[in-house]
Amino acid sequence: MIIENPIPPYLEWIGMAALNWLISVGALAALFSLIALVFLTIRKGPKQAVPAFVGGVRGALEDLFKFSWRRAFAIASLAIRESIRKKVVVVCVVFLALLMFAGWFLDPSGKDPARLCASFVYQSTTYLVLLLAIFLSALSLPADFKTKTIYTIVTKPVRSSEIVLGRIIGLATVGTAILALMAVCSYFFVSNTLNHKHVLVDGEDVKAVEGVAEDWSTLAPETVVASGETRLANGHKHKVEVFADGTARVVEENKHAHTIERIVEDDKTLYKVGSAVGALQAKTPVYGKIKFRGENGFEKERGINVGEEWEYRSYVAGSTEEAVIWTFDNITPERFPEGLPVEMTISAFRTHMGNIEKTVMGALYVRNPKTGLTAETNVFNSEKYATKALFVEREIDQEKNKVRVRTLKKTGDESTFDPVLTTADLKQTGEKYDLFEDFVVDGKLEIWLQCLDSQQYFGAAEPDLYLRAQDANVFANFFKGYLGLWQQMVILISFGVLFSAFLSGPVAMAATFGILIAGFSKNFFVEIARLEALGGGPIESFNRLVTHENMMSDLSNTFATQLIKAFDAVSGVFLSVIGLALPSFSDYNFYADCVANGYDVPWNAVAVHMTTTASFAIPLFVVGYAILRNREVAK
Amino acid sequence: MESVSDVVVETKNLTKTYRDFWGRQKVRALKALDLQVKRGEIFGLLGPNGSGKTTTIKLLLGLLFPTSGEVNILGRPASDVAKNERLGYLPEESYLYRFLNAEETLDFYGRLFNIPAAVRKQRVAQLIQMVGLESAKKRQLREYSKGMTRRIGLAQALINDPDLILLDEPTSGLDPIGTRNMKNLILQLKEQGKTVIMSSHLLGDVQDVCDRVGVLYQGELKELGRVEDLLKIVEQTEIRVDGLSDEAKRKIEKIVEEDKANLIFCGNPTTSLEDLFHDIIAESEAHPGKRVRGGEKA
Repeated sequence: MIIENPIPPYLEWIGMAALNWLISVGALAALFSLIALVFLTIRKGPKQAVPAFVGGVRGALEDLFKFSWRRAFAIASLAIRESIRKKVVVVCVVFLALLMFAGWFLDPSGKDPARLCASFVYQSTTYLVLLLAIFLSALSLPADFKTKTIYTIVTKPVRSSEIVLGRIIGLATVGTAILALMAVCSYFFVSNTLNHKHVLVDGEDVKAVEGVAEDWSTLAPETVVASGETRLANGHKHKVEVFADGTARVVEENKHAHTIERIVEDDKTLYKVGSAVGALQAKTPVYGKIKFRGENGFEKERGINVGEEWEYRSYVAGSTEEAVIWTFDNITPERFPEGLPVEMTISAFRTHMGNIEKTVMGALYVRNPKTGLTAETNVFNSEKYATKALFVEREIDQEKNKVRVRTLKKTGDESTFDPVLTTADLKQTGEKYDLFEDFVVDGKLEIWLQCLDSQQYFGAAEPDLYLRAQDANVFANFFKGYLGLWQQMVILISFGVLFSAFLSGPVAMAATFGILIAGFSKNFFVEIARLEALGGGPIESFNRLVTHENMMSDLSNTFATQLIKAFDAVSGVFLSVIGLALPSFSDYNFYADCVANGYDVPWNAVAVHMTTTASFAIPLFVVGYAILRNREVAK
Repeated sequence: MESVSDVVVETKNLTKTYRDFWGRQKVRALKALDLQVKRGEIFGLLGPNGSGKTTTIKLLLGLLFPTSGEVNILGRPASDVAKNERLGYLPEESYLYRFLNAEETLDFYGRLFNIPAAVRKQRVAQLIQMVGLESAKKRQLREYSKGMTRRIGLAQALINDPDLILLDEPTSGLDPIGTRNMKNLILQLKEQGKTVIMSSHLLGDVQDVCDRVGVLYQGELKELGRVEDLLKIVEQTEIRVDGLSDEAKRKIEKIVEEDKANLIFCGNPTTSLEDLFHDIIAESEAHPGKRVRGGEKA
């Protein structure tokens, strides 16, 4: 899976994030205070402005301390009841109808049907739930103002903070219930679409392997004695292998296998292919830190650039000392008792086609980061962008695995790899090495990737190679995938309630929708604001658009263009501030991507994103509450 | 002399000017209102449409912010949410959630007062019985008639057993029986020692229940005083006599005394509140500006 912006460990991230948050919130608070002071000065005169402002702030703080959860929950339950009585559940009916149509059009015979189905259900729920969040949140408070029911609320001992938070909680609860309902429907839809059976006709489809002894009991149990293919279903067939001990297996195809049942009837053994397994996965990758080894043996942060515009992957040259090195932490026999299951998705860059049939060869090494003891564990043929699963055995043989020593050389403060090999500390010939005892030091282990073919290159990024720990629960992970959408919904509801505290329903809805669009394209928004995007700032781009000017060429140096550029530069500062304060909704696609690609959603990401969500929801609640508190409820 | 704690509502120089989006003055809805309402009295606010009655009530409730002046209600400023603990409000039209039924409505408003569940349940049942909605308590308010909506509106205003009740047009939309019940209820509230401020267009209703009234016209308080004082025609004397002889009519007082007749009444005749109201309005239109009040000073 491609992860361009890896999520840092929570504890590393939180300090700096909290500081940034405090600075941003402080700056916004200062800005709002200034605006409020100017406004009060205009309304009440300079003498009364400051006392009025201080009184307002003190009252607001008092309100926060006298906040009553019981009243907030009363407001929340009202919002829930309102949504139910206004038949919000209709959205679920729309979703079910959508799933029925999807059943006709989604083709489960593709190479990766799980990804197709999961992506579809996540995207459709995203659109429906976010639109619902906008409607519910932007219209609820304005409806109270329009029907004047708010008069009967604010003349009770209810604080504005309780009204705003009550609304957010109530609407988020409605959204959560609908999301949960959609998630359950989606799960059944996906598992139902992926599940299929293949027919295996005994005596026709599976035939004895030629040259195998008839008495299977004399053979090693894992010997394949018969093989064949299932009949076609969902656009594919599976290979079936029967072993000497009578067991059988269905070989993986289109990223899934099947159960196979052995039925013995009147001295006849039949095999029946069962339901699909492994179509949905929840792999738990353990990532390492990446670095590169240059041609001269020196460590560096990045490898060679082979001329790709997208600089995600970095390359190492084949048949040289160059290597991609991943350093893993916390590698223990308890986590990986049998050895290390390694999965990688690497890119091969060919400078010549060579033998077109032959793929580029590569090798994996494990290396003790302290002693430099290195063993070649796997030699493989690369398949470009296909995930390759390899297994590093726990027992390592000196000869077979070409065990050698690659030591570090210290030069001043810098430590570099010494390309000269020494064999000083090697064991006696014939002695075995243990992966954990000899290669892992303080839980640390290095895995090296080298390209073996001359003039060919391997490219990799940090998430391209990982150790596969025990898989997580697929069912639970499917629902975890909805956490991203849930968080987007909560942020959007908070924005909606904020806008509805001072805007009319349709305007609040448009503003919330604007936040959604801007949040999904936050990076582009910031690029435009910082004048980093092609075509210049907003006015310049518009000018290019109407004058049919391309994005690359310089504009003629006239007064008008100077003016446009100056305006863009000034407005860019304001736009950057707005852009940085926007939530990045596209970050939350990570959850659906994880599930669709068969990965467990890491709890670290959940913790980081949940904190980010709270960091938006809390200030939005405070601003919404401050606005509602200081506005006249009646007209 | 009344103690300060006897004053439940007090406004000083209360002024409200409505402005448009650009801050330009649109209309001065209330001009320098000085008013005191004392504990246990029923105070009526009178005035034609647009005179500032509803604006005054909204300012008292904190629904609007005053342009200048002060409001003290139950000893607190109008902007203080805590004042609402002991306050009940029946709006002009019952602005309630139409998707709730009567029980749910009262329960919801009860929750906003943090009333414990058991007490709330009891109080809801009691109020529904009081306003006579037992048979319709499970129906959503969208199905209610206007009279029923008024009654549930009143019940929600009383959910917290308030000390001060603000009623905006309490009898509008009610049939004669409903009006009579509402008036009886207001008098009952007075008996319980509660203070009631009501505004009404139905002058007869105000005359029946109010102790004091204030008449507003174009945002100014034109008249203020006890109902019986205001309605008294000071310059006239009315003698109502039963069985008086023709001779005695000539020298009324003497004959009444000499004839040992039964003197039923001797005093000032009164006008109706409706006549008084129309007189004040006519006079205010003829002589704009501050009016010399016949009643009392605020």
